[in-house]
Amino acid sequence: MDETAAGVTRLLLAWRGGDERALERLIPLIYGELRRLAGRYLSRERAGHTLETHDLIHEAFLRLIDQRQVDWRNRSHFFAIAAQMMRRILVDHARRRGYRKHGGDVRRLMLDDVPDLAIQRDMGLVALDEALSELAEVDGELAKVVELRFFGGLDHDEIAAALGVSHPTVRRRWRMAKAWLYRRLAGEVAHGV
Amino acid sequence: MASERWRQVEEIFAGAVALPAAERGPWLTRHCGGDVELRREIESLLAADGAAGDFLERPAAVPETAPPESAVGRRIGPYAIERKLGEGGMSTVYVAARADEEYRQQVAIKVFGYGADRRDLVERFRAERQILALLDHPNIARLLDGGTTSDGLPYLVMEYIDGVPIDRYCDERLLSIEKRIELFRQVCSAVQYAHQNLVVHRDIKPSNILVTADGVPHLLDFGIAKLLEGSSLTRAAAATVTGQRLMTPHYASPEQVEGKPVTTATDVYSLGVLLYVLLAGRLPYRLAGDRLGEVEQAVLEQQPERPSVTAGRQKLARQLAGDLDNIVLTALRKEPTRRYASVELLAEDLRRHRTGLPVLARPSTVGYRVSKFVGRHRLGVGVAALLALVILGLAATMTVQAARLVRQRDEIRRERDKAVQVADFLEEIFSAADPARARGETVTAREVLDRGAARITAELADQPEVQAALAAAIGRSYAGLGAYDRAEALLDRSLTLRRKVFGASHPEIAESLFDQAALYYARGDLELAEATFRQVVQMRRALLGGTDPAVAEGLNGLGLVLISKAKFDAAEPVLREALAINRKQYGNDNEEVGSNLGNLGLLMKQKGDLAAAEALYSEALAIFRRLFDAPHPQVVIQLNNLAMLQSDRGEFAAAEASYRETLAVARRVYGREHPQTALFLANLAGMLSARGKHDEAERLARESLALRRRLLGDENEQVARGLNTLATILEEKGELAQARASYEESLRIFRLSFSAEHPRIGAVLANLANLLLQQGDPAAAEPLARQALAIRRRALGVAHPDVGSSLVSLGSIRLARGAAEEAEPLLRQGYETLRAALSEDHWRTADARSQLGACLAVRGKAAEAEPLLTSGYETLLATRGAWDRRTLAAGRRLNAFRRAA
Repeated sequence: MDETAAGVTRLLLAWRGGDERALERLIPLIYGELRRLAGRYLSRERAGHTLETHDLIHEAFLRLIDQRQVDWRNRSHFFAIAAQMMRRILVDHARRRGYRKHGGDVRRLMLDDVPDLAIQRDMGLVALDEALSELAEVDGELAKVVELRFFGGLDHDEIAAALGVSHPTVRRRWRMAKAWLYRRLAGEVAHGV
Repeated sequence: MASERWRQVEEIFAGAVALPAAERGPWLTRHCGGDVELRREIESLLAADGAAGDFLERPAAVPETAPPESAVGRRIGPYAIERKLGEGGMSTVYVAARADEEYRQQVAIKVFGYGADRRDLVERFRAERQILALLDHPNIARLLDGGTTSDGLPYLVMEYIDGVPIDRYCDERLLSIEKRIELFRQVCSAVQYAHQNLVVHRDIKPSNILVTADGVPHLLDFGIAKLLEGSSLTRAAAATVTGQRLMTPHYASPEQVEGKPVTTATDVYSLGVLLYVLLAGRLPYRLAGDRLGEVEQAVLEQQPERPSVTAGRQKLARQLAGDLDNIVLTALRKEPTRRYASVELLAEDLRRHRTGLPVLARPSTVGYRVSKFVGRHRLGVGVAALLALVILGLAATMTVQAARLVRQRDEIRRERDKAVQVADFLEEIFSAADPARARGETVTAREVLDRGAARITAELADQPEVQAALAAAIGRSYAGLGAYDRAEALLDRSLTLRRKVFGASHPEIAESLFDQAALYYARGDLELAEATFRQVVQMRRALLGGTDPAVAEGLNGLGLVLISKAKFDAAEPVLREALAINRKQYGNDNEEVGSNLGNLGLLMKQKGDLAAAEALYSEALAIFRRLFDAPHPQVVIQLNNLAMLQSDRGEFAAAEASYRETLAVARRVYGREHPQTALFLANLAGMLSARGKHDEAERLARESLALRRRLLGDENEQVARGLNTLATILEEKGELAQARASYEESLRIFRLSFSAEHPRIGAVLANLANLLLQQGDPAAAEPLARQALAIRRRALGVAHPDVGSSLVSLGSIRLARGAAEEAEPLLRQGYETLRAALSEDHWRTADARSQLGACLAVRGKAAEAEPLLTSGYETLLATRGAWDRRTLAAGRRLNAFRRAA
């Protein structure tokens, strides 16, 4: 793992230093590790509680990156890349399990009387993913904040660092994006049922 | 959205969202100016922001799909998990014990969620919880509790059934065929109960039916059960199984294999497979190997071998051949509509087999093809036919004919009529309401009719012939909906128009007269109905000859009127003539023939000949089952007839179930606001009262009465019937003053509609006399009892059980008035009449026996009195239960006798 870690760390730093090709090589490495880790949870191999994506990304980060060489900003960038990948992994998984276009589940289940949030959370993943892509067409920056926060589990400081914007900007974009997505998905409930 | 515009939205939104709600309006006014669209966009986002709550606030999670391996030993709520019982597609079932109680109660806990798609899981959990909460039956594992585990997984706590799968139970104990059938019938009662609650199990198989050590089968696992239409829960539950076939293929019905809609017939099929396995010891289909999909293919295509052939052993084969073969194969028919129409009928057929009665299951016949043909020709006018059918059906007990003839008439008319308009017009009016849908939606049908009625006047003024035909069709439909005034106006108009066109005597005139007669009959104008039906028969005989089915139609109507007027001797030859004409014309498998048979059955039942009535009803039912898809008015009527016979035989629990089913189906066929629905409500109320469920009985009786008053007016004979039913229930409840008022009002209204000699008037008089006797006023009771007896003797003949009851009643009144010597012969004669007409063990006979015993005790004939009092009491105890008014009275008589001795 040390070799990989050294390699991944080097690539991350190279990318941060402006080497765009480094990212191309970095992505499959991170993606592979995330998939492997996620797969352990998504299959039946592990007993335990629901795992938040942030924990999983963190685990990948620990495995892939030599901590001594990166500062928290670099770490945020790693998380930002990973968040995007987590989105893909989770949505693909949900899609494979038969979540077709059942938009509105997010909200419907929010209002549900079953008190378990863990259940709701991955309910409307596919719908959310689609709505998020629509939002990205309107405003890519808003969509990015959602991706980092929801799929990557990053907090506002990490997001600010990863995107190179101020904390209030992140907060403002988050609120706007949330309202937009909620309206979009809630509207789908109203029309789709 | 343009980028610049978007920035604007974002900025104004960000500004507004930071403000308290009250300040947002002015902010928007300031920043949006007159840009309405911009403002609306921001307001909508603000609303979403306000409603979003913690939407997206918790980050996505990797779904955890593995079961906690350490579940055993853990606790779920107050229950300690002891061991895993099994695992299904979406759930794991554990045995657990409630540890914090003094006693240790074992339960089964079903935890949802391991390895499951979570959306399905929540819906499934909710559906199953709601389904189980609906069901409370001794043969269904009960829901005890439910909740969410600390992991957030929903769970259900159920009664733990420590038993053996039913097939193993039967084999291990080497149960006889009779015992197996008995066990199976208990399973049927559980499934039937579920169906009455609109729940279809969908996964009936031995491993879901566990028999406990005490020999009681328990139906488990409503995990893929479904709520039928009519329930508000339908959607959630129905959504779950789309796309995935969860059932066990060997027990799955063809419609499940094909992914088609599932109904109660699906459970009938699976029960058929189960019965096959229990009887023959093998599954119904022969499979060459275990190729994937082979079972499914066999279910769809292979005709099952007769159980007697499969069984092998000769003795067993002999037991199964015939009835049991037919019963099993009827349940296993590929087409859902050709199976038993209900689980109850399956169970009933097994009962009939056991008691040696002819079973309803028959090998398929030409009738099937006929019914297919009829089905194909149920056109747009089906609605009219269907509604018109009801005209004759107002007395629920009646098997009516009409749909087919109306259909025929409409078809003939369409061919005959030069004006294609009729067909087009009808098509246009009626196709708006698809027959299948219209059955449950009288409102829609009514609207359709109103539109139609308005249009014929406006558009067809210059075509009286066409207008007359349409007025008749719509008038019949109004009558079917119980809108008698509107119906009468249209039918009168039709007749007037036709007289202008055709003169005094013509088939079309006869048809109009027939419609009117049917209306008069439905409304209870029996004199007018009889006269008009006679006119119809006479005119048709003259015009068409004596053997035309149209003559039979008139005779059938006349027969019904005569039954209502209790002119039984006159009714029988009339109905038999109608039957003969129709049989000759159509053969046996025909709706008219079925109707005639059913009406003859009614006649026999009214005369008190239950055995003859049952045979005739069964014959009619068999014909209708071959002809119709359920639900259909004819099927409702037959269900009701069956319930009445069960009730008359003293099988109250079964009768209650049957009445409930009748009502449920009737509501689907007729809708809630319909005289027929009111009738079935009243019937159920009467039965509930007999079962001691007084409050529900009273509620339903009042509901029915209110419905009748609303639909038919306050002085309709059906209102009088409703009052009589209500009074009986109040009397059972012990509210004698209220009961008396209702009886008296009922009597008053009956006397407005009927001749003074009508047996219904006799019945109400008898009821009132008994009530007065109970109230301690035998002097007031006596003249009423005498009137009742006189009416019944004349109307029903001396051997009728009602005459026996009247004699007993009069005897008791004389006894109460101190004339024991006079009472004795009355009571003896009454008792003997009942014994001959019903049976020794009938509750009415037992009641008479007890009363006779009491009289003999007073007369000092203790030796003769004692066995009568004892056996009267015991029979009542067994047939009516301990809390029945009559049982209690018989107990008091017996105690008084013993104290005196």
